[in-house]
Amino acid sequence: MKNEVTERREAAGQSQGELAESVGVTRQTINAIERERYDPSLELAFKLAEHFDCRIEDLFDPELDHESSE
Amino acid sequence: MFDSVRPTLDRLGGRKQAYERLVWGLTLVGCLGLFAGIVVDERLVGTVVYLVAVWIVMGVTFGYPYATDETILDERDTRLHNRASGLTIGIVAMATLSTVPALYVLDAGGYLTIGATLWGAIYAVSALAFLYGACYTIVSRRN
Repeated sequence: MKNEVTERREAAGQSQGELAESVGVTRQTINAIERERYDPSLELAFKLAEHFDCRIEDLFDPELDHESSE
Repeated sequence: MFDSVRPTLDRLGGRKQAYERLVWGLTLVGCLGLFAGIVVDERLVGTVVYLVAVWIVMGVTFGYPYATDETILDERDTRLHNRASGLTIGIVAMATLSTVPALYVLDAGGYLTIGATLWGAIYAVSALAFLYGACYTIVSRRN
């Protein structure tokens, strides 16, 4: 899933390991999320959003087909 | 107890990599010990080496998370494990369902004979299927 984790983490001056420790996962999981190879659970998505003080939808873009629902 | 091994774990690089190195390294030692025991005809020694290594691996597997404050296994590991388990069961099921019934019918018709080894494998796979069914039932009732 597309996301802004890398941008927000770097803006916060954090390493992947530091972010991982903050939200209680491994560095490998943060790496996988940033490379869009792993979609986090809702719980982890909430933790990340809370960590960056933003909404989940600001952090993750599920690339839904918005036009089809209109 | 785990406080005493924490410095050692940290020296190994700490965290997840040290955990994985320990688990896979000890597993390798156990398997090599067992194999060496067979080769040099010291099977009892080889078996002891294997069992000790496996027990240590089990201790490390369950004890390491308590020996470090850092997260060693998380939701991604669980998801990878679940996917790998599902894939394994799927492959075994496909292989079994596509061969065993036909073999059984051919054996009953006298076209071929299922040997003792193959029967053992069939029983083992059947036991695995029952175990999977039982685990699935338990898990589905809890979720």
